[in-house]
This record gives sequence, structure tokens and C-alpha cells, in this order.
Amino acid sequence: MANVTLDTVRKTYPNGYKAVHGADFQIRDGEFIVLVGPSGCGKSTLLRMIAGLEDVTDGEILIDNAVVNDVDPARRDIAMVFQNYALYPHMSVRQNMAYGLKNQRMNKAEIASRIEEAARTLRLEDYLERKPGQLSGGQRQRVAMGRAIVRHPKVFLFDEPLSNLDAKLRTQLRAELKALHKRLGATFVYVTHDQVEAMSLADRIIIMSAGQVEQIGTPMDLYLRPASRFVADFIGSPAMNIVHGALGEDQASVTLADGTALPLPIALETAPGTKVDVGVRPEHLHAADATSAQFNLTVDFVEQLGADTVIHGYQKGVENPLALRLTGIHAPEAGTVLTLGSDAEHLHIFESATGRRLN
Amino acid sequence: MTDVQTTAAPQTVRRKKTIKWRKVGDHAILIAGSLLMLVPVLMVLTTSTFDNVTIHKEGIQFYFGDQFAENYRKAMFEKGGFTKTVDGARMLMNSLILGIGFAVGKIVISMMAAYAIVYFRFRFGTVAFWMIFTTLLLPLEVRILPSYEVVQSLGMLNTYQGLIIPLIASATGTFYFRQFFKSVPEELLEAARIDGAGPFKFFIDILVPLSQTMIAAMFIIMFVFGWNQYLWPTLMTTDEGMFTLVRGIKQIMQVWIGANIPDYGLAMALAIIAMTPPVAIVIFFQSWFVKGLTESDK
Amino acid sequence: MKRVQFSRPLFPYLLLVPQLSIILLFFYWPAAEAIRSSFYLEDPFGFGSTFVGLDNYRDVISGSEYGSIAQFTLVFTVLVAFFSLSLALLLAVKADTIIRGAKSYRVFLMWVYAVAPPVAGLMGILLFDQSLGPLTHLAEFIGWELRIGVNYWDTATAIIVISVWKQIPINFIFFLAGLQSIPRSVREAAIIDDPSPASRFFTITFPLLAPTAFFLLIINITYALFDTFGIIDIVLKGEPGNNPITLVYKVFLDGFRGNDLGGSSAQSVILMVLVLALTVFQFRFMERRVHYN
Repeated sequence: MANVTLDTVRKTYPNGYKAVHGADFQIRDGEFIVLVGPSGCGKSTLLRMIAGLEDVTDGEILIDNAVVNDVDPARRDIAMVFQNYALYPHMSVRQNMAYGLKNQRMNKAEIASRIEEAARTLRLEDYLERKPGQLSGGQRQRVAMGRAIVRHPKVFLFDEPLSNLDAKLRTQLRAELKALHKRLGATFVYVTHDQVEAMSLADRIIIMSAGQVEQIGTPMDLYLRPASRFVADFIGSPAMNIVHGALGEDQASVTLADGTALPLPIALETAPGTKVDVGVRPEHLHAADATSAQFNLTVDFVEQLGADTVIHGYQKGVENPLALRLTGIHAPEAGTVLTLGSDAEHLHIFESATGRRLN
Repeated sequence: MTDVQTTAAPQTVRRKKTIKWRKVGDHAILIAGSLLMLVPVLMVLTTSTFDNVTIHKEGIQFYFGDQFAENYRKAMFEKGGFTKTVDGARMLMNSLILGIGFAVGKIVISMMAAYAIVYFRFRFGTVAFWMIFTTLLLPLEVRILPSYEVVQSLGMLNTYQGLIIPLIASATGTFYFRQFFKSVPEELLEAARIDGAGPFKFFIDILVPLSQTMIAAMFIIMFVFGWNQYLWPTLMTTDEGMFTLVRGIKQIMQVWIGANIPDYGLAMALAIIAMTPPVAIVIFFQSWFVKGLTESDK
Repeated sequence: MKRVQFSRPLFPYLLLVPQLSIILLFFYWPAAEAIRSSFYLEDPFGFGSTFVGLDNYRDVISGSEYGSIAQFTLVFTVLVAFFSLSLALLLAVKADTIIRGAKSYRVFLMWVYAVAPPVAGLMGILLFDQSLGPLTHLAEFIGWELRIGVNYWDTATAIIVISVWKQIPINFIFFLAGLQSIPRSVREAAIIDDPSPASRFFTITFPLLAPTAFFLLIINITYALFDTFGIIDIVLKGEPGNNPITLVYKVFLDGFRGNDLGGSSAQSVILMVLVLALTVFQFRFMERRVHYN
């Protein structure tokens, strides 16, 4: 097992496109790290650089404290699971798993025992002689994992491995992956664009946007204290409510577009008049009496999901969309105005110009 | 209610009938087309089983005669031509050598070239690409005389190499494999690299087995193409021992001129022998062949 | 090209050596030689050659024959392309609609692809034979006395008929593949929008088939120009006399029979320019018109 260190790693493609602007972080031994972000944010490039499939333009990548920039992918002691599985279609499941080991000139008995072990772990014993074309999507994904497991690598790399599967299978395989990580105790680096996958799998999440690392932290860090407006928006569903305005003279209220003041429970040190975005998650809004209310939500429509209810509407006067999430079943009439408040710790204030967190 | 039903019923019947008529028309056209393709060859086949005098007197025959064995034996094993050195069996062998040699040579050479072009980054890669693909522009026929001279100056007239290699000098196969290699998912190469496969191993272990169907399709197309060559073998082979069946057709025609009763039976038998192997392959491996043909233009 | 490629210094060159050496030896050298010798006058006894500039071209173009041969080649190409394409399209459309017996029809309509042009030519002259050919007898019924090899246009008719027959299968294969690649949903949408099958064909099917048709048009032109050599050579029994021939046949005649190296080379170069123009046109046209894919 091993740690992985990225030291100001940059990637610029020959056509001048900068895919990664300088990634700088350490992945601890045995950690489950998820790289998450919208498509094109550089997360796959980063993973592929760790795998050695993509050259590093600048900076260093270390696996187990050794610089691997110029090491062949086959010699980095990593294994990778691809989005489209990348199984060799003309080889049986067994041959697929054995191929990499054979190329390492491992002896046959050892190969066989590793395949048996992986097949048992992944419940693939009955499919070893089949070709990938004869397997379902979920089974193919397991074979791809099996091909990684038999290598006993220091680091497992996953490139959106579940995104070609249907929702139900995805949930099931997510749980299996988590269990597999516990069992193997190896370092996992996992790329996805799905924030739910990231939240449920990761020990720590690295969230990226436009080639930059936006924030690194545990799922709850990211949820509770997003470092930027981008992170706040990306993590959580339904997305965080954002209301635009300018910081008032008292530095403890925000003046909205229509002139109404939105009182903040805390005072900021930012200059008055600064354009700010105030964020609060739909589940962190609660009913408040008219005097202390921060938000006035005019109900537009209601989504009843059973366990909870999401009420969509807008901030009265400025037409800013707002959502409220309540547990249980509720059915307010359209047009009703709800006065809502939120605790200080659940309010996120970002500078509009930079997206930087202010509180 | 009942009124509506009684008026509606005949309408449905009539509608059904028109659809049926259209189908009959479709089949009629297809049958006519099939006959158009089939009948000329059938007539040659049936007539090839008669003796020359009957053919000369009565013309084309529509049933099988009793000279099948005789005519085909003559076509296969009796030495013909001006110098009486070549029989059908020899020409059949030459045709096979040309067809198979051309197909195999072309597949091997173009797979290698396509592999280099698609999977490697190297200096002059673009130059090599354009050099190869320019050859798609000009068929052999427009540079036939200088090609002949080149082969002559290399001392390759009347040799199998001289027959086969110049025909390979076109990039159709390379183009075709390039298209196919480009459609192979990139992740396969990445997975193979992580599995420790170098360029040679990847080619042999992954790419070649993956191309099986393509290779088969290519083989059929190229075999037929090679087998059916006419102009090039006509120029290249003056030694009758090197004649292919298709080349031999011309020889028959020349013996024919001036003959009192031309050897129709032999000519037709030879025509049938010359078309049977490629036709059999195309019919037998129809699906591969069609796939290979129609996917090469994308 | 691939996103990830190998970068080995020597290996790709090794892979390319066979292909490159063959095309250098048997493509670029002959092509260059054709261009070079088109500017030279070869001594008929093989004692060197003299540079004559564009004289060979002038001789070729001003020659009385060349104009009429070019004219015939044009007529021949147009007729062969038109008939083989339209017949094949008709058959493909029908083969695409029916279900019963589709496989058999397909085999019957495509197997002639494998018949060599000169073999087709041989069968043709038997069927068009003066005394025993059934097609000659058939023509007699309508009062047309077919005299292949004697009458210019009778011979032309035979060559065209054989060439069309030989070319139908490949056009059929491509048209059928083109038809089958039209998405089912598009056809179904058309059936709902337009009740007439004929107008559906012209407004929906044919436009979607245009790329295939265009590709085939080029293929057919090339076929008529070059691949029909075997048919013509057999039908004329190697003795053109005053029978119709095409430009390629003339290159062959002047080069190998007439020993007019310079003239033949000049004609080769003219053909090369023609083919190049055709290809450039094809690419330009493809880019502009064909945006379906």
C-alpha cells in the first residue's frame, strides 16, 4: 500500500490547452479519495497522469515516496478501472484477468490462485470462461475490478467506473466498492462527476473546477463549510439557495436588488457595499416568525417525494429562486408566502466577484 | 352502429388488397433483377456441357448436355495456348497464387502501416500518412506503361513477385485498417499498457485478434480483386506457364479468331472455372464481405 | 489519431518500411516516370530520348482520334453510371422493403460482383454472337441487326450492356447498406407525416441516401474509366479496328502496340489530372453537401 503525492502538477496539451493548473495534495496510504467536478474540469487528466497514461507537463507525482513521472504505467504498481471497462473482447474473463500478470512473468499457479481469489470476492466464479460480450454491464464492471484486484496494486485508480450502469445497479456496486476498499485496505483514487457518489464513497473529496483544485476535505467539510461558491453549488441536492445582494453599511445585513435588507446573524469584516452571494441549503431553512425572518418564500410548486417535500418558490420582491426542504409531507398552496430563517452556522456568504467564502 | 360497420368493412378489405399488390410488384421486380443477373451465366453453364458442333449449329443451349466431363476435363488438363504449355489446372494454381498472395501481402503490409500511423507519434508521421494516402488517387491503369518498365528493369517480368507486389502499391488496405484501428476504444490500449504490453505485444495479443473479422472481410475482397486482375497480368506474363485463368481468357479469344468452328465448349468451361472460386467465396462469406466492403468507405 | 500513442524511436519506421518501399518503387517512381517521359520523344530504336516540351500533349490533343475517343468515353461513362446506378437503386429499394426471401434476393443480386470483367466480356460476346447469341436473335425480333465488332454503335451497345450488368451488384450492395442505415425512427416519423410512399422516397429516403449515391457516382465513373478495360479488350478481341474504345484503352494501345512512349505517357498524365480533379471535386463536394453524418 502506498501514499500518492502530487507536487504542483500541471498539464498543458500540445495545442496549448491547460487541463490542470497546479494540483498540490497528498493522498494518504489506504485512503479512499474521490476526485469530483463537472466534465472538463481536469479530474480525469489528473487520474490519467497518476496512472502514467498522460505525460506530466510540470511538477512531480510520487507513489510510495518515489517520483514516477517517467515510470511506465505497467511499472507503477497501480491498477485502473475504466468507464467503458476496456475489457479485451476476444479474451475470456480469466484471460482478461491473467493478461497483466502473464506479462509480469508470474508463475501459472500464482496467477490461477489470484484469479480464484478475485473471482470469489467479486462473485464471478461462474463466469470465468465467458467472453465479455456474454456478460451484463454490471458483470463486466466486476471483471474490470477483478482485473485490477489480481494485480495486488499499491493504488487503485477508477475512472467513472459506474457511470455506464443504471441507477439501481450503481447503488449496489457503490456499496460493494466501499466494502472492497475496507477489505483490501488499499489506496483508492476515484474519479466521478456524480456528487452523490463522491459523498457516499469518499474518505476525502477533492473537488475541481476548470483545472483548479477548489477544495479538499471530508464530505462533511465540503457540505458544511464549502470554501467557494462553486463547491457550495456542486455539493448537495437540491442545490444550495443563493441570493444576490450587496453588504449593508452595518456589515451585518445584505441589501437585495429591490432595496429590502436581509439581516445576517453575524457581522462580516468585508467592506460595506461589496457584492455578495448569500447561500443557504434548502434543508437548513426553517419556519421563523415575521420579525426575525431572513427569507420570504413565495410558493411556486411543490415536489412531494414521500420522505420529504421540496417546496420551490422565489424570494419575494426580487424573483430570486428559493427552495425549501422539509421532512414529511407538506402541501402549501401556490402563492403562499412563507417566512423562513436559518442558523448562523448554516449561512454561507461568498464574494460575488471571486466566489470566495467570506464567513 | 350497424350501419357504420357495414360501410367500413369493404373498405378494410380493399385496403388490404392494394398493399398485397404492391408486394407482388416488388417481388416481380426483384425476380426480374435476379434473373437478369443469373440467366446469362446459367446459359453459359448449360451451353458449356455441349460439343462444339452442336453449339455452332444450334446456338446457346438452355439445358444440360452430355459433354460436361469432356469439356471440363479438356479445359482443366489439356495443354492449350500457342505453345501448348499451359492447362487449366496450371492457370488455376497461378490464379490462386495471385489471389492469395495479393490478399495476404496486402493485409500484412497495410496492417503494419496502419498500426504505425494510428498508434505511434513519430517524426515524419504526417509525411508518411500523406505519401501513403496519395496512392488512393491514381489507379494502376493510368501509370501502367511506366509501371511495366519499372518491373521490367527490376527483372521481375514473368515472376510471381512482379505479378503481385506492384498491385499492392495502393493504400486501400491501409486506409481500411486505419479506419478500423481508429474505432478501437482508446481505453483498450491504456488497459494494455497498464497490463504491461509494449507495442509489439499489444499488436499481436490485442489488435490482431480484435481485427479478425476485418481481416477476413479484407481477405475476401482482396482475393477477389487479385483473382480478377486482367490488364496487369496481361502485360506482365508473356510466359504461358505464368498465365492466370482470367489472363487465359484472352488467349482463348485469340485462338478463336480464324478457327473454323471455334472451341465454344472449352471457352465457356474455362469462363465457368474462372468465376467459380471468387463467386463461391463471396456467396459463402457474404456477410463478412458486405460488411468489409460497405464499412471501408466511412 | 489516438489520444495516447506509443513513442518508440524506431518501431514505427520498421512497420512502415514495407509499405513505403512498395509505393515508392511501384507508385511514385512510375508516376514520376510517366510525367517525365510525357515531355520527351523516345527514339523508336531505344537510343535515348529528346526533350520536346509540350509537343506530345499537342500531338495527342490535336490527333483526330483522341477527340472522338474522349467523346465516346464520356458517353460511355454517363450511360454506364446512369443505368447501373438507377437499376441498382430500384432493386435495393425493393429488396429493402420486402421481408420474405430477402436473403435469397440479396445473394442473387450481388454475386456477380465476383465475376471478373473479362469473364463477363467473354460471356457477353457469346450472348451477342453473330450466329448463336440469343441477344442477337432477340434484337432481330425488333428488326435490329446487331453486328458486334463490325458496326461501331452495335459494339458500343454490347460493351455498355455488359459493363452495366457487371456493375449493378456493387451499387446494389452499397445502396442496400445505405438504406438499412437510415434509422428506423426516421422512417416511422416519415410514414406518419407523409402517406405516399413515392413522395416519401423522394423527400426523405433519397436525400438521406445522397452521400451513398455520391460516393457511388465517383466509384462508377472510376469503374467506367478504368475497370472496363477487360470487358472492352475481350469484346474487341484485342483488335480495335474502328470500334469504340475508351481513353485508357488508347493509352494501352499507343504504349504497348504503337510504341509511342511519349504520347502514351502524355495521355496517362491527362488521365491522372482527370482523376485528381475528380477526387478533389469529391472531397470539396462531400464537405459542403453531406452534413447528415
